[in-house]
Order: sequence, then C-alpha cells, then structure tokens
Amino acid sequence: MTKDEMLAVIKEAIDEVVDDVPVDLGPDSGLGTSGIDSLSLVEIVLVMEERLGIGTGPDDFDDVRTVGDAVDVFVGLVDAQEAAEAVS
Amino acid sequence: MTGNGPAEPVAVVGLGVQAPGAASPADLVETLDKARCLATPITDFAVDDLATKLSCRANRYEPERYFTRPEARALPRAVQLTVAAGLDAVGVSTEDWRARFPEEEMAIVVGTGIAGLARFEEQAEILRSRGARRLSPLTVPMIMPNLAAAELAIRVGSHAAATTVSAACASSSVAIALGVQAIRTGQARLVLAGGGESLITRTIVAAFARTDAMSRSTGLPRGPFDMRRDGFIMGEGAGFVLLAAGALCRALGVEPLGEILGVGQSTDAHHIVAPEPAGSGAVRSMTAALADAGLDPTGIGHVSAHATATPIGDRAEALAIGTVFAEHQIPVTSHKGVLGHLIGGAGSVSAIAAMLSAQRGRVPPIGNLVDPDPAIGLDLVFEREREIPAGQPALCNAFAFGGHNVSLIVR
Repeated sequence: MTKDEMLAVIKEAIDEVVDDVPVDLGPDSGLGTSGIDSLSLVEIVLVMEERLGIGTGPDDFDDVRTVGDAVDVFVGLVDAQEAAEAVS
Repeated sequence: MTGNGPAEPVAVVGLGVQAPGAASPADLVETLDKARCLATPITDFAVDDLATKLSCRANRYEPERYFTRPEARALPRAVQLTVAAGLDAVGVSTEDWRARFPEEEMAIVVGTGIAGLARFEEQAEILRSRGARRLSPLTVPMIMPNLAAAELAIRVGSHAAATTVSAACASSSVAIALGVQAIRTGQARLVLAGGGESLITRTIVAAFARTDAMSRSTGLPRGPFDMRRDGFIMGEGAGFVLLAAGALCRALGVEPLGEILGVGQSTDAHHIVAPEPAGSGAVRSMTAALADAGLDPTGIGHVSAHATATPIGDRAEALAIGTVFAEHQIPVTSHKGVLGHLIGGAGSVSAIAAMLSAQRGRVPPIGNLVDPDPAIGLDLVFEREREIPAGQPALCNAFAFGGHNVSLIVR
C-alpha cells in the first residue's frame, strides 16, 4: 500500500472517530492541532487495525506526532505483515 | 412528601420523548391512540435459545438530529436516547434556554436502571475473544451510569448539579420526584428531570427472561391485565420534563405545558423482585402522592398503571388501585401493551403520556388487552379510548425490582 493510499484510509478512520476534522488534514498535520487526543488516537488505531487486518504493538505509536508519522507506521506494519505472510 | 399539606404545583415547561413509535410527545400521543403493540422480532442477535424473541425498538429515533457521526459511534444507544430526549425537553421551551431563563442554572437529574451495560457487554466480549489491547479506551466513561447526566450538562452548558439516580424500572420517575423536591425546597428553580434505557442485548434479554418477567410469546403477546398475560416485552426509550418553579414562570411570563401536582414514594421492603402481593407499597406511594397534591381519589381523572403484564405484578397493582380508589370507578390504562417496557425510561415516558391524556381528556386503550382478567376488578380502558373531563389530573405509577414505588400526579 502506498503512502497516499494509506493517507486516504487513515483520514477516513480519523473522520469516523473525531469531530470537526480540519478539511486540509494532511501528512504534516499535527495530531494535537487536528483534534486527536491520546484517547482518540487509540480509537483510530483500533479502527485501522480492523480496516487493515493487522495488529499493533504497545510502543508502535510512541513517536507519532503528525498524521504523516502515523501513515509511516501503518505502511511499515502492513509491509511487515505481507513479508511475514510471504515467508510462511 | 412535604408532610404539611399540598404544595404548589411544579410547572412543566419542556417535554422530550424517544420511545417506540415516538420521537416527540405528539408522536407518543398518536402511537398510544392507535393501541397497536410495536413488538417486532429481535434480529440484532441470536435468540434461538432465548425464551423471549420480541422487542420494541425506539424506531423513530434519528441519531443525526443530535449527534455527529463520531459521537454516535462512541455513545451507547441508551445514552443517545436519553440525551436526545433531554435536549428535546430543553428545546421545546426554547432553542436557547438561557435566553428564556436568564440568570438561571439548570439542574439535571437522570434516572437509569442499568445504563451502559450494553457497551460493557460488547467490550467484555472483545476482551475475551481478542485480548486487552482491543478494548476501547473509552470503555470506562461509556459504561458510567452518570454518562448521560454529564453529556447533558456539557451539551446544555449548565453548571448546576447533574445527578444520576438508579431505581431499576422506576428510575426516571424517581428523577422527576427529586426534581420536584429540588424546586419546592428552592434548591433549584429549573430542573431537567427524566431518564432512559436501552437494554435490548442478548445478555440482558436472556437474563430478564430467566426472571420469568418477560413474555415467551412469539406472536403478539397479551397486554397488561389480560387473562393470558405472561410478562412484558423489552422496549427502549427515554423521557424528560423540564421543570420550573411557578414563581419563575410567572416572573418571566412562561406558559407551562403541564404540571406535576404531587409525588409519592415508598419501598415494599419485601422481596428483591416480587411485589408485596397485596400491593401495600403501591398503596403507600399512591396515597402519599394524593396527599402531596392535596387531592382525594375522586379528584383523579385516570390512572396510568405501571402494569407490565406479569401475572403477579398486575394483580398486586390492581389490588392497590382498588384499595386506594375504593368504590370510585377510576379508568385505568397502561402504556406497556403498546410500547413494551422501557425499564429506566418507563416512568417518565408514561408520566408525559398521562399528562397529555389528562389535558386532552382522552385516555388511550391498553394495547393487546383482549380478555380482561376478571380477578383484576378495575375499570380498564381497552379496545377504544375513553373520554374523560379534560384537565382532571392523572396518577401515574412506576414500580421496580427492589420494591421501589413512585406515583406522580400530573396534569
């Protein structure tokens, strides 16, 4: 999945969980300034796990500050899962 | 409850209802007038192994009228119905209650029986089947019994006390009783009072069925006071009244929509589920409400019975009504034959219906009452509505597991 495709998926998830999402939400948008607090982020991650069919670890989002950071983490997780499935 | 003769009626200046067949007080009147039971087969979860297979959904509720998509996703349905009805009660009187009641804070009293249990059930299943990391971080706030009161306070922007009370199926009537008390004692001049419930989940329906209080019928069940009644159908819904001190209404020129004339409460102190067989607790609550309103039984135009259609509960209430009203032939109706049992929301929704019936002078018939039980011995309103003198107060009962009894006199 490309970063642009992942950005579209994550925007949908954010829209489902958070009120008044900025219309210009993009990779550089800060989570805090986009109305995404720590509880919302956990909810968004739960929605993304459902959508992508992946699991996440407790530390995966420790360094996430922007929407783009989250996109990178999810792309990495999907790639890792696909690689693991290819090996098995 | 005041103990010193009748107190001044408390004005009702707003009404809100979300119930089966009703998203407004006007809908409620129309739905009850039709006297058609709104039970439909449960399709949200497996019922093959459950004794009960029917429920009454609040089928006119429109979440988008009250909540954004993220809010509707997060808030349990019980809380959504409760908040929606509460907001409607505030909105009926004015779109901006602060403009209509300047300088006032609005106290909030919400009654609910089990509140967020449906969400707890869902999250417990996620924990069991998928592990702790799949639990929603909002699980705790979403199962708090006080969630609806807190949400209402946030949404109406009031900083007065927002309280939650739980008395099972009498919860929202207790909330109204507490609201009336708060106004009479001067604790508050404006109180949003009522409550709601949505418990149509597999665990709760199965659990209620185990108490033998729910109908096992697969076709339309017989209604309250019927010879062949076998229990209630689970409903869901919420009702709220916005109460205001009479002096406040007069000062501001606000025309009340109705009045609460009296409240009476008692407890059976008998059994956790079964009513005291002679209905002595119900006699006490009705008698206390009459004394509180300064009325004798002949001053009441009709009774809205709690009557859930359980064999033992209807019988005990009938005995109690017979004791209180004696030879005075009082028309008796019950709303549960149409709406099902709204549990924590039942009392306030029925109080609103009874208030509107009293004002119109038309008592709706009991839904699905076909063969009145001769042992009941009351003047039951069934098959068609009953005309009574408009404006005669109604006495509305709400009883509960735990033996809690609340009677409200409304007009």
